[in-house]
Amino acid sequence: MATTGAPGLSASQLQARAQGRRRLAAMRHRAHRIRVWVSCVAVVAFLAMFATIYVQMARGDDPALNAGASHRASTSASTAQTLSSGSQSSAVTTASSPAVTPVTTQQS
Amino acid sequence: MLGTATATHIYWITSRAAGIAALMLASASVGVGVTMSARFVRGRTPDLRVTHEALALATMAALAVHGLSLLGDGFIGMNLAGVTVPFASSYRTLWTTMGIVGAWLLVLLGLSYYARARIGLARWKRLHRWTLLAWVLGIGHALGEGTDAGVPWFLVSVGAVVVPALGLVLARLATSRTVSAASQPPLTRA
Repeated sequence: MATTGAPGLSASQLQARAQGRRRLAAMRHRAHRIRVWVSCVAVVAFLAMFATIYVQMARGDDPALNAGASHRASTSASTAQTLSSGSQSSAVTTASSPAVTPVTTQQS
Repeated sequence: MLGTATATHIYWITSRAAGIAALMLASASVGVGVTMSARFVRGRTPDLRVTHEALALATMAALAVHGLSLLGDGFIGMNLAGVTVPFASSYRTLWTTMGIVGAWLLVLLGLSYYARARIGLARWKRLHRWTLLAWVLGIGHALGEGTDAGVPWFLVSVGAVVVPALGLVLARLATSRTVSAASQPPLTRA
């Protein structure tokens, strides 16, 4: 029986070994492709989320910043209301005592 | 002007994006893992195993970015202990701790795959099931503390990955119950 390469192995055994090597190489190649594909998906998912949040923030629609802004707006509005009611009472006081100057508020 | 406004929050945006990506990747990993273990798809186990492993490693990388990028954000003022040690942060302590515990569980249980020969396959399989708890903690953390939790695009994009994975988990649980009930010895009449 003719043997090539490794001594003591028949041709069919050598063929089976070569086939096994090819199959293993194909599996490794396939695994590598899957890893690359998953890495690409992960990077794309991250970039998509990053871009969405970035645009959302740039448009002024960010939920956290909006909540902060509305909180600040309501705080400044209530402050302004307090100050204006204070100025009204001081205006009443002004009639009797001209030394008190009216309060003016400026909202930034 | 807008660029400046977003540039000051660049670490925060990075952390939020990485957190959402981590949740999506973890959900996909759970889905593939359950598909593999329940044999919902036959003859593709080697491919599924590689996909599951790659998704798990990508999740860990995204988690690292999610936590570490918070260190650069000056607004929230997190330190290393705050993002790695449970109950160390004063910022929404319960939700933050939920995320930290989930992340550590995910990393430790995920990396235990490489020590499964030492741990023992049967014991490792039992341990690996706790990854589900880590995933659920991650979902809780995202919904409870996530800045974008109530925004439609977040709910749609995360739901598209979480809901199918949840369905697969429930199907797996139902299958395992049916199998265990079928494997019970029949009751003998007296």
